[in-house]
Amino acid sequence: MISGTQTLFNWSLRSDSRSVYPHIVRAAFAGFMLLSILGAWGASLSGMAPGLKFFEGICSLNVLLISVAGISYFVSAVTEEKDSGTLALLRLAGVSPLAIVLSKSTSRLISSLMLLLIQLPFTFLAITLGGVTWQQIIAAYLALAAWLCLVANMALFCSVRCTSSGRAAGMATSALLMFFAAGPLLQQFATLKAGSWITPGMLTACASLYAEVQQTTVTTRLEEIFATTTVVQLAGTQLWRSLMIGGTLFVLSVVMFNRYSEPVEDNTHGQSAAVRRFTVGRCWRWPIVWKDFLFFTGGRTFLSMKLAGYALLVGGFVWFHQLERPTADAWLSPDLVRTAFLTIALLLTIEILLYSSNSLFLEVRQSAVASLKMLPIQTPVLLLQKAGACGVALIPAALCLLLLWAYDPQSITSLHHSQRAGLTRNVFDAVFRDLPGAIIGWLIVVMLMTHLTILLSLYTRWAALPLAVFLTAISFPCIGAAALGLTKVTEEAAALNGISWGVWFGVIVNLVWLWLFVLLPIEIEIVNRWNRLSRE
Amino acid sequence: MAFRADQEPRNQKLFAMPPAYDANTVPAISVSELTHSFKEHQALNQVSFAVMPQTLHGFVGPNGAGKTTTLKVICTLLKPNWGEVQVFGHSVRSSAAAVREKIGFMPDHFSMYRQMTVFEYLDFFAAAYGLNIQQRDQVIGDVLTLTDMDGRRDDLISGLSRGMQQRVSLARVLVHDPDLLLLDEPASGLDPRARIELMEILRELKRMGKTIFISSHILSELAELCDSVTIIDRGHVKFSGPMDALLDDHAETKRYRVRFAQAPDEMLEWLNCLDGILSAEVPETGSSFEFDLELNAAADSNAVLSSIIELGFPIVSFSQRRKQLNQAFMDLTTRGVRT
Repeated sequence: MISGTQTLFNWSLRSDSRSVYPHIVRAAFAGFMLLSILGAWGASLSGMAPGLKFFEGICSLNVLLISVAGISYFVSAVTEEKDSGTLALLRLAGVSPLAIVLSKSTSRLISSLMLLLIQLPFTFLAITLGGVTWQQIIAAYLALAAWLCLVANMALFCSVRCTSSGRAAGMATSALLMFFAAGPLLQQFATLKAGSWITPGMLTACASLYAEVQQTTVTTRLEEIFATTTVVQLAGTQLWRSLMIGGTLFVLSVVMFNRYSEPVEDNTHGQSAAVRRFTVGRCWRWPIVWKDFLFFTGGRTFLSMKLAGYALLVGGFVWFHQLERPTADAWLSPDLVRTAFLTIALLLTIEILLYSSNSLFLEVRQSAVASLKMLPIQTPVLLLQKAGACGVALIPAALCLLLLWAYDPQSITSLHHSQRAGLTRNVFDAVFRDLPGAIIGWLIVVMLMTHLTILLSLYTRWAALPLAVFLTAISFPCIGAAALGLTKVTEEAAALNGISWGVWFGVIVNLVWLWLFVLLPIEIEIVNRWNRLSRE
Repeated sequence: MAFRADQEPRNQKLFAMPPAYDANTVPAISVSELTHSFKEHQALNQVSFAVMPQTLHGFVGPNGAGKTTTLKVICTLLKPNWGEVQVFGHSVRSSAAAVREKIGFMPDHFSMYRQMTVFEYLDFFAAAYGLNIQQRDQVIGDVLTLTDMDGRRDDLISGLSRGMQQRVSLARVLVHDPDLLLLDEPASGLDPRARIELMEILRELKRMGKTIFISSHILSELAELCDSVTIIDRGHVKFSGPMDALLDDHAETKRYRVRFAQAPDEMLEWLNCLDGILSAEVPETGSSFEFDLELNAAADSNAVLSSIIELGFPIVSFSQRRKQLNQAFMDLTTRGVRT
């Protein structure tokens, strides 16, 4: 067992160290940290605890990166062997489930821990900038490492449980969303008044469960570390719980490995021809849209399921409002309209990113690039059709957003300060204080991240999404600053000429330069890379 | 092979019979001084050959010889560094779209959307070639009949055997009725039965007037199937021409095999003494009354046969022994894998 594990582990580590991309990512991260330190030093002139602000920013980025890595990088630990049909060969070679799981997951875990380790020397510089102590830094990194362990093992479990990387990514995304949503949901339930069927005991259970969840989440732990002015406890409850849950998921992965690694018996006939005619039907006028919509995004069945899911989500908000205010005439309070809008916008963003990370990547994996290239369809048209298919699949989320907007546009667009507390309040205030700006910002981030994800998915195997998030996080401050500056200049120039719609003119100018100087070069590189792959 | 000659084809163009061969016809493929390199690695060096329309042309070479690179250039996926490649008179450089209309390319690692049914898969590719629903119905029916997949049209591709998938892949290549089929290792990974069935389909396609350019390692089957062949090794063409020219021993000697109903032990000695026979020997395999004869190239085989008859023993057969394709292949190519 030891020999098998060691061989696989060495192979994984060696291929990671030989590949140039992980080193580029680490070097880029180090460069980003240096730039951030420089920015923080500039901010220190204003005397506002720049070290703490810098460190808070780095930790937030790490939480985001680890979460995204969970749904893209870690989930493929075992499924990549299933996808390529090599899992059976490993088992034939006598490698035990424990050896496979240990070697496949540990190498990725170590590779990711390296990314955290490389930051440590730079973050200690934050101490000299003021506002943060070395105990806070160590405690924060321990919390992040524990979060990494939890996410990696959760993703590993999904990887063992599911038959393909796509399904594993879906399961891991759902699990993470539920984990993050559990806290706010329980908190809201705990604030309800006891009624006919909501007993005080249920409310107490919700409140205590909420407290337990809060003690496990990394964001709460980090907030606690940053807020501590005295000596901080290095290892908090979050660390032990994350390690425990991670360990349990690892053991479960090993125990269930044999059960879920059996080759799936192919169903020769699938659905009956009549059912198939309804669910699949004939190819559309745009064949790539048809193919991707039905066989990549899940088709009509999954579209209906998503529509029902989003309807249930909005229904849940309505139900919650009725519980909170039984006598209210409105279906949703302004606060809940905003919450629902933000939640669905978040889910829409996740959907877009997952589609963009897999749309071209799966064609490469299925060796279909050359066949598609031979079709009388130009590559840009083909890529547009692929985007169109994803667009069709996004209709349920977009429809829900439009409905919410149509129901109460005033609540969404008006200046409003949330009554909520903590991080949730900050997010709400930041987003809704300047909604047009937030929408434009969201558009820029999503477009940039989508383009980067698609491009990177043609180069790397599974790390495209976290890499794109990281690159967007690095580049967005520059792009955002340029966009803000241009908007201001355009607005003032328009005002001088008596044009009232200067802001919208600024928006158009921003979209044009963003496309011309940022997105178009990425698009050209995507087309070039696609063409190169067709020859390989 | 279920396709029958008496079956009424629905797509007249696809099933059109080949016109009479004309010597002035533009070659289906014309490759002239094709040179291509990947960074330091010279994949093709001054490769030249031609494939005539409505023929089945074999393209043979050891691993790393440049077969797939040549195929990718012909099918417009790869732009050559140097040289001219034309498909039915259209240059792959300047008229890629026209070339693609004429060809159907089946790569060695053929892609299959495994979650589709056979019909959906073909419907997708037919729609991508701009066929309307009626045309798609017609052409899919035809190609399914041709590949003997009529009964499997509603089966998921994931449930098909490799041989069946290969047929579906071939059917896919045919949906836009190309004049030239480029097949890269179409028989690799197939069991003997599936291989024979595939070769039958290729023969049928040739009868229908398609030009087939097939890269394969299965030399014995190529010898039976192909009208012409190109042997390539380390980026150089070693032979290109009719299969007969390659297999006929065009050296200084001709080889024959004679079989007697019965023969005495001295027969070998007697044969060696006859005029025109350079050497006679007992073959390693075969019956005890068989002898391999090596004749002078100038010798008249009829005269030699008369001399043997005069020996007074009943002859069962007397036939020329042609070189096997694998022997020709071994003679022309270099040992070892290219690095």
